[in-house]
Amino acid sequence: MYTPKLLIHSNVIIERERSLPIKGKFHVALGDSINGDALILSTELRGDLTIVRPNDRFSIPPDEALKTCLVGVGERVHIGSVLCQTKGLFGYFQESIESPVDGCVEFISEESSHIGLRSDPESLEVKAHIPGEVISLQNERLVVLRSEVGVLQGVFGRGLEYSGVLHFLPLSRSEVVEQSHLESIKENLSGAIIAGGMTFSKEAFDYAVDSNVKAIVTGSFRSNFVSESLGGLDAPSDSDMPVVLITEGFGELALSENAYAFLSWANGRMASISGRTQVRAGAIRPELIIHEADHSEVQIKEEMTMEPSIGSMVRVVRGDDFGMVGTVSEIPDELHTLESGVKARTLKVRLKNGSESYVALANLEAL
Amino acid sequence: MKELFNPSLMNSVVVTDCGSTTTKAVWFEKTSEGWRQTFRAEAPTTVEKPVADVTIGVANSIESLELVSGKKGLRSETTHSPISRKSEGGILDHYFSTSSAGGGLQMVVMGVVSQITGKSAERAALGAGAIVLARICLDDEAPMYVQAEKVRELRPDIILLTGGADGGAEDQVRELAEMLLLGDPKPRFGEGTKVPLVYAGNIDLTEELRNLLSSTFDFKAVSNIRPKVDVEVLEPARETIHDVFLEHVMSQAPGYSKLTEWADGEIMPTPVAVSRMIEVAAKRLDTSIIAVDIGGATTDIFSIRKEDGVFFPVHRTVSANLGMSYSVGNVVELAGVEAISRWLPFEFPPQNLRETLWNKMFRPTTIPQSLKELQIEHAVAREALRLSFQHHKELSEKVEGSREDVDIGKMFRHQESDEFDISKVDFILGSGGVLSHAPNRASAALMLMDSFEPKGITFLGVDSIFMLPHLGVFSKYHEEAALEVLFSSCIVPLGTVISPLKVRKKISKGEILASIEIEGSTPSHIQGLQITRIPLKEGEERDIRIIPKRSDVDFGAGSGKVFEGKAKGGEVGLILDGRAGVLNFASIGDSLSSLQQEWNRELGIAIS
Repeated sequence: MYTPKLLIHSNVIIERERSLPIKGKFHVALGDSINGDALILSTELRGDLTIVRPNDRFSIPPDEALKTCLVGVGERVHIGSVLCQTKGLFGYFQESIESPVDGCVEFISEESSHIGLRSDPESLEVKAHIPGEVISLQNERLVVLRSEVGVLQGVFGRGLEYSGVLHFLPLSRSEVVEQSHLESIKENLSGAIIAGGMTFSKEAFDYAVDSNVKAIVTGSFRSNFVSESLGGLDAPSDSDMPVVLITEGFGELALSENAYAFLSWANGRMASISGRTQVRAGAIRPELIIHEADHSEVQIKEEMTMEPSIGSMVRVVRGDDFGMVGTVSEIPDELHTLESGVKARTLKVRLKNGSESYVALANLEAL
Repeated sequence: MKELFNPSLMNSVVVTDCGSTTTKAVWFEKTSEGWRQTFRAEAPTTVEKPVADVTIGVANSIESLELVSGKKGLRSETTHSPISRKSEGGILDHYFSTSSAGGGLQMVVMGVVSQITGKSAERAALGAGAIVLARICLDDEAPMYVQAEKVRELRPDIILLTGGADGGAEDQVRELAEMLLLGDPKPRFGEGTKVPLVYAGNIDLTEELRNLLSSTFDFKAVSNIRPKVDVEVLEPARETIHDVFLEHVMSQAPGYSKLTEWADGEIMPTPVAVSRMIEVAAKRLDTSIIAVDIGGATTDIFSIRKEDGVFFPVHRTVSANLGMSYSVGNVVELAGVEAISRWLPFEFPPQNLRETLWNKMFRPTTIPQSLKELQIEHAVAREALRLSFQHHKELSEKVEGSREDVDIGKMFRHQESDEFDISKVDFILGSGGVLSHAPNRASAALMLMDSFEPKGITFLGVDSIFMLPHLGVFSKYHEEAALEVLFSSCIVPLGTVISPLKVRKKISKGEILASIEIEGSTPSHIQGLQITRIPLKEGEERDIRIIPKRSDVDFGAGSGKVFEGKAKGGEVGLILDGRAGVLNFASIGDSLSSLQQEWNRELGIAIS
């Protein structure tokens, strides 16, 4: 089998789940057609429990600490409310404990004197993120949407979700995006999704952040850039930083022809982007979704897979020929020994530069 | 039920191992040459959605086994089971299975002090075959609400709560219990059921904690894993975890109740099966063994030590964040690109190296096309193995038996006598794609040498296709047959490596550290910073005599003393390693890559 392909197509039927972490309320019904900014689910998250330990704080046994307690179970407290107070000496040297949170007294332990304070609940809302039709409502917490959209999946992303208008930079696939490229469209930067180029220079990236660009789509990032500007591969998403998505990988890897054509078509269109990336246990790829599909293109379903065939177009996704596109000229039956010494199933590929070589099937993406 | 498993009546057995991504079916048959693995096949594991039934993957693997073997009769025509026994008109005597599907058993362990009950809890969980998602202790830096959040997010299958010697700490254990109530975790499988909690701490708190926690958790109490500060008793906790896993967790996992009906005997967790086979092999060979399985996401290490004629229980660690594809980014982060690049026989810019490995992480199914890529993968494999072995050594410290004089300070003082002694290990067995399928067996040998730094005389081997889980469960019902298959079909002998235990003074390149007299062969030398390969085929064994040429060099008989032993052959042969560990690398500097080239060439490993 080919290596799992990243989907890049301007007319795809997809299904996406939108969910709450706990049960909540639906704001849509089966069959509804909705926009990307429609509210579809909401709930209240139970507040955190904070434990206050008067026995420790006052350094007295629990039974004495209980006597200092001025609040009861169920009572509402605010930050700064006095929960416990010692008698002191003739009214002097009193010590008190104040509530660190707004909330409610949930329990007072007779054994330990510990007081449990439950913070006020938080509201949580989930929007659709993409337009579509509601096709399933499940377990009071999950909505499934079916959409006909354009999809570009990336290799790596950072950041959560954002929706806005996409602006494509008219650079070549292998050009580095510099600050001057962004300055030339500065009136379009605030709130935008900016796409294009092989990579962004540090100056261009910093300028984009300062200009309130909300998302960046490009071919690749150098690893030093990821460490210095994004906080590392595993850094948590930061709402002050743009959502980022790279289509090819790490290094200096030009945008693929497919990605370039897609982003060019998507210029000026409404898009939603998610930077969420997970490599294990059910891979999640970062993706850019264009709200309106290109109906002049053949429509495909997301799950379509391809088997190798003579004449089919492929792209190399490993090694010195990374990114090279070619055509399958032969499908050998026997295993082939690669330069590495590994025996693998291969395809003979005629690359666009005219050369021909046996490439491991696992190192090819079907186009 | 023992009478159902009569070894003398067995001739044909199929075993499946349901892994996280692949279900492998292996056929063991009694042939004219003895028990052999005759056929094997695999199919994708189907425990995740949309299929969500592990038995589909099992049935597919059995069907593949029929195709590969060209034999019919494995599958029943009349029942839904794919397994057809002779008693039903089929051709099998028995069907067994192991499983680590769905990620296996995932646990959170909790203790009061990380170096005492925390570590003991982790050892108990690992010994029961679990992956430890987190070890949460009161002396961790994170505040309680962060720890509680972690418990909630991780969704463990089982929680192990420990803390306090009997009659000892109480408030601290109560605090851990409150943290659990704060977190209020939900189970991974079986929505609406309670997460099982095994309490193995201060027995004085058992009833209080039962009252506090039973409404939220499926509470089970066992005897304290640290009844006294300097005494560790893991078996009751391990057994209870194992039972709870089978009864509660596995029964909720998709398709397992049906698989349990199909299989003879219990469905054994994969790591428990591997541990079992290693123990059986060690006792048969009368030798200490380290076995390592390095996968795409995790690296498991199993070790069994023999000291003073007594075998210790198998010790297992799972480095769940170290592997060759999905987890390779962690290896880069923890080891650093400099540590990885020291193993390369060529110069490669650090940033490019990091990018190459990150790209592998995000396209994990790709394979090395060029020689350079292969060498990079082998370099990172060394660091993954070294880090995993370090983790293994840290968790394998001995806990002394009962003593009257308790020395708390010893718990926290590192002592050399507590360290895992690699010189006592006679056999290192490697498994996992990067080792088992290395294009050149010598590459696998060198990776094991560089990663574990064996000392003295050590035999090296690789597992040809990772059938240790299959053999482990099979050994429960026919130990002799499992051992026959292990030695005939499973282990590929690489050969023997000889290296000094200790070298106290600096060594120079080429300096003769010892001369080696090999029965029936020309004498040779162990030379500083050099590797020498001497042909010695599989099945051959030679007496050897090692004569140190420096008074500070020790091969196992003492500094400067003659050491005698035996060398066994294999696909690589006899390897004399005078590099005295990688500690010398720091002083080698710029000539390291040329030395790497020399070492690779000596072993016949192609270099770019």
